[in-house]
Amino acid sequence: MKLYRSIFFLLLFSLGTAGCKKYALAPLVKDPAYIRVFNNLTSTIDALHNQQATPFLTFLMDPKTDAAGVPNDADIIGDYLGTRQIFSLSYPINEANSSTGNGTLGNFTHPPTVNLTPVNYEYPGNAHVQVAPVINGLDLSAWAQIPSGKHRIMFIVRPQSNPGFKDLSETQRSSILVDTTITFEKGEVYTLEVVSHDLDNGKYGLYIRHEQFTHQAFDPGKLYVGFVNLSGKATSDMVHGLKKYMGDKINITATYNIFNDAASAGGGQNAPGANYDFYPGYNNTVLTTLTTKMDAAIDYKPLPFLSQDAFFYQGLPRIYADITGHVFVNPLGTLPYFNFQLFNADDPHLDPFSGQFFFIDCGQDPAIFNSYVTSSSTPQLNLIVNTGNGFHAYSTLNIMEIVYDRVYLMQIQRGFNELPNN
Amino acid sequence: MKNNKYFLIAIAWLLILQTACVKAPDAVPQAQKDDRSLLTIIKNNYAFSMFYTALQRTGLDKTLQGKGPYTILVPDNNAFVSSGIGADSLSKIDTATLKKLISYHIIPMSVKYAGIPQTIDSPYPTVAGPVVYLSVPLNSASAPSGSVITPLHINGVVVNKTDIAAANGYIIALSRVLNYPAASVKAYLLNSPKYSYFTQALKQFGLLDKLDGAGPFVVMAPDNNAFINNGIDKTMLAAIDTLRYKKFLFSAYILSPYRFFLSDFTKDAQPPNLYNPVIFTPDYAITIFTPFGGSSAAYGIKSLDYQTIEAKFDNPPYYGNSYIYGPQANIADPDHLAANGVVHGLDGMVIIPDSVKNHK
Repeated sequence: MKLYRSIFFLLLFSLGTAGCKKYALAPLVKDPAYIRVFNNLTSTIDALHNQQATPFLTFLMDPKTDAAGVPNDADIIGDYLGTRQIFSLSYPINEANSSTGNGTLGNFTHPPTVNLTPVNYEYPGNAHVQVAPVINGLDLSAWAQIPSGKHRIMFIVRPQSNPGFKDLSETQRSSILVDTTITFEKGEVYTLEVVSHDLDNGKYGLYIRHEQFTHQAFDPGKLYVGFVNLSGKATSDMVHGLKKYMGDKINITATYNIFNDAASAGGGQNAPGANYDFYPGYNNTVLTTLTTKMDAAIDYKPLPFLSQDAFFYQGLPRIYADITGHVFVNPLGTLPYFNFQLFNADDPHLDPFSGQFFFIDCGQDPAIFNSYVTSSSTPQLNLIVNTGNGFHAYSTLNIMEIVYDRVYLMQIQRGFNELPNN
Repeated sequence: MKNNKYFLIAIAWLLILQTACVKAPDAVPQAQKDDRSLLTIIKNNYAFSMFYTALQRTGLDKTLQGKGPYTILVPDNNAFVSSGIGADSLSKIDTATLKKLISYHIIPMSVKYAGIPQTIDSPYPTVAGPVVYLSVPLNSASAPSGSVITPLHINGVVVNKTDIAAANGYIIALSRVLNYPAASVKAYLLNSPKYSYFTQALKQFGLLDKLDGAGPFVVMAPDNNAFINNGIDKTMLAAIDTLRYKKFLFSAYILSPYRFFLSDFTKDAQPPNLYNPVIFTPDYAITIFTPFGGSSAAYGIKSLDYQTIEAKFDNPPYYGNSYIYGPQANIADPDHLAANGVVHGLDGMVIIPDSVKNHK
């Protein structure tokens, strides 16, 4: 009896030792630059649009080619690069998680078709590489170290399948979408994004942003948000109103909604009664107008960052906006949230789908946001994290990237290694 | 006894956890080794007997004993029958024509399913010369409700089985015999009495000769019955005012540069959009509507200026409405491949002269 029991515990112990493979540390890169790679292609093909590329790519840095000039290997391979998720943050969101696809192409079928082939939403993502250190108080764990200097960058259109890039057939490997050479400077941070310039004619390119946030001074008592328009030429079905498109010149206004507890009391399913006050100076206030596309520099706009007690009610964190559509009491949550309206500056018309201007409510829970098909919403700009024995709201740096009909939010946490002092 | 159970559970967990953690990308499975040549496999497979007979008659069996690699697109006996070719009619096809047709079913390279690009209509060479088009659908897109996404089709023909390995290549089993492509879309139309009214109309409007060009073209050809049903006979057609109807009475049936097969709509996965694919021209929008059930498709045209075309379903265009179908005709006789395009036969006309109001 006792013997069995001890064998049992011995086995349990061996689980701990035998369960997981431990990775050896990847070697440090000498004189590194830092890159993060996204696939912004939202389109997919049908029989009438088969000149377009399917949005499943392989990122290659310094590719090696065979005699016929077809790449067959590379110094860095970022494989299974699917369309990026709407929300990305300072560290890879699929870290320590399965990289199985979950329908990020925005399909409206219910339930979304589950895609069981591997997909990475970014490079490095969960790749086993050294990443950038904290620079300027920003958590840059999602940027990979690469040797600085001149590098050839290539993107291949690959099928959604299990074999890795090197095992693909020559026909598949020869479908090159982007082939360019870039010089990366030592210690600098770059974000690379595959973009479409003209979908109707199948023209694609690489957008490279030499990030300036590592050199800029940011007020610790402010939130920051920057907008950039990375859309290509509008396709004919966008021009004819069959598909959403934000326009070439975009006006953006900001509203800061603060939940009014007293006025909202007694709300129920039939009378939701959620009341919000506008933060002074942020009631549909014009924030910026984007007149150009593919801007390499981002103009970060400061927004108010409230004191910690604004995020708590009776000692407990306030709630996020509901993501399921099944909560009727305060569906937009009780946390203070920003609302941005985006409209075409040349032709301000209502969105025929919603009857409103395009808007984004920044009220969602970042932890679960990407798992749901949501429209007109994005996670909180105030990052609420459990650190130092309690919840704290952290200020963030936000980059909103507009691609045709969607807005990708890249959120970078600020001052994550200390408690916020506001 | 009870402890034994614990013991077994613990061992099972140990095994599960030890295998659980590190996920590496799947390696491509090693090619199945099969020492038999392609010819031997075809010969020994009763379902391929008609294809084997054809190989023997055309002398292509000797080619297939060579080193290769080859990929053979083999229609099985049922496929021959469903394409309207019985054993008897097969023996009556003259040898030169048959040789051309059979060598169109041989790709002079090794094609494994995992190695085909995931896209619509990627061209592969054949021994006969003209290319075949292979389509692999996207995984995450949805099929029209009621239809099944097939992993591969070739020239619009559904593939029954891929990756049948042999020593000198692979066999892909087809559900129908491929049609040998016509020299051009123009040549196909001129040789098809079923579409003689349409061909004459194209000739009168000066549209036929350009169908000899590089293309690629998709021609939606209303058959003769469609003309007769709308009260248009040969004499009336000959007298038609080509200047008044120049803009789109017949040019709306020619799409360029496109190349697609019916299966690209019905058997392939459609992208996850709320609407059917649309082609816009300055004057009208063209839709290919795959109805629920997904076995057929309809070709439709909708005027962007409702004063130019009047038709039974035509209302003022409402932008934002995802269902702008307009008058439609069924694609009844699809997938006639030519070197520079595809001809799909329609069972109706989408614009008739009477419905054109203000046509300059």
